[in-house]
Amino acid sequence: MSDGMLRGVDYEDPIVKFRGERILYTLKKVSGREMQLDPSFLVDTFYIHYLPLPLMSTKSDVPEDKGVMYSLLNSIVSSDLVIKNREYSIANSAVSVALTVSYMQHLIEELEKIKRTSQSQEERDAAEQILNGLMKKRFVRARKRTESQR
Amino acid sequence: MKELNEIYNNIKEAAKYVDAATETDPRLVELIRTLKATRDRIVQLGKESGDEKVESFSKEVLDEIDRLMERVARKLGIYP
Repeated sequence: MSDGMLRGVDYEDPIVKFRGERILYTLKKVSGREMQLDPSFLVDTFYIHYLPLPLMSTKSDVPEDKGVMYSLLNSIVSSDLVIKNREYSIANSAVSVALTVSYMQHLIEELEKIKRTSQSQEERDAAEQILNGLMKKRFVRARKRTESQR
Repeated sequence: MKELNEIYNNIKEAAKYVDAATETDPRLVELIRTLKATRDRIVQLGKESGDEKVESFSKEVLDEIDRLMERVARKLGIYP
């Protein structure tokens, strides 16, 4: 898990890894289903809530295939809702975990709804692209294989 | 201790950001608010720990926050 997008976060630190795992575990429990999410994105969402000043890496440091996720994370940093919630979550890991789980659960539900029901093909494609970006690369490849075999 | 250390490192990173920022950077105003919330939380963490080392380090973190708040305020022209 070394491809996070925040400056100053050590993605190889065992506590950082543990936080990502804990968020994923809670998210699975809350949603009641299996999810193969990219832990580095969960960690980034956690630290956006937790750090006094979360600083994004420069876009040129991010691999090209992560461009969409970079934009998504950037919009989370500047989201009014997140800014308001940070009042309670800064330097508080328990609250940051809870808010990250809630945020991710709603984000995934909303994207899946758009993918299923939107009238616009463009919107459906964008939602799918973001959902794929949220998932582990290994899982996206396996899912695409399964879909092409159908 | 680990939590305090993460916050301390981020405050140091934030200081570099503030030095490089312009006076019109919208994140500076937000940062003042954020630092006040961080300060309150660090005071609470220090008190709750009951550990001398944590209390002592929390004071160091608070000093760093105060210095950064002053730096941001100067940049925004709040202090003459």
